[in-house]
Amino acid sequence: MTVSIMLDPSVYETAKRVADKDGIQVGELVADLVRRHAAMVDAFGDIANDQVRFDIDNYDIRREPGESDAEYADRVALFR
Amino acid sequence: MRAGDFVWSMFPFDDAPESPGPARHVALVVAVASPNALMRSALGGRATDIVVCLYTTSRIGRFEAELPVGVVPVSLELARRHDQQVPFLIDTRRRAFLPPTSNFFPDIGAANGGVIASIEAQLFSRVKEAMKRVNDRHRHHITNAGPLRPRGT
Repeated sequence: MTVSIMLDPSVYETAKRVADKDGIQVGELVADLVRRHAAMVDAFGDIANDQVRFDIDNYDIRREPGESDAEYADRVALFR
Repeated sequence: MRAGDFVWSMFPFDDAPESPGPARHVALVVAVASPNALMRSALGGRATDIVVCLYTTSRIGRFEAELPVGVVPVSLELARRHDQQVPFLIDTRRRAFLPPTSNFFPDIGAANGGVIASIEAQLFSRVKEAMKRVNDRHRHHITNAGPLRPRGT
């Protein structure tokens, strides 16, 4: 889906400068910012409720005794 | 409780995925996850581990002749080696993300922590392979239950 959004010229200028630095389009930059902000809002909501849902970026899978590096890596990959 | 343990659980049902299920059920633990350093610092002393379990069932006739991808059969002989008296199925498509509390693990306070048996390495490898196959090619068949399941699932 394609939508248009209104940006203050100075905000657009900043967005364009940062996007150019990263070698991406302004639209990609905005999408990335929205996704990251949404994830942060969700995480803080979880923290407020004392229940942080599983996310491999927030949790470490406990390694079991006798598990080799390769076995552990394979098991962690199951949750990505 | 650790990965590879068969444990007594109140595995949540699909119609109430946040709540303990109505009956005791054997589940297979595939991971115990702890909040990482960032989460621990954000949560302070309230950081909680998550036990990730798979559903098992002794209703081995519930599927047609061919088992769906992700369902691992355990023969009677193999079941007996895991302190269970009937053959059963491990459904790697049906997963639960649970806090290690007595409402989800009724025997967690017992000396053995509610652990029935630990899985043999070869069978655990089959289970992990089945999980991977489901993740890679049949992700839409996964159902996640439990109050700590990933957001949006």
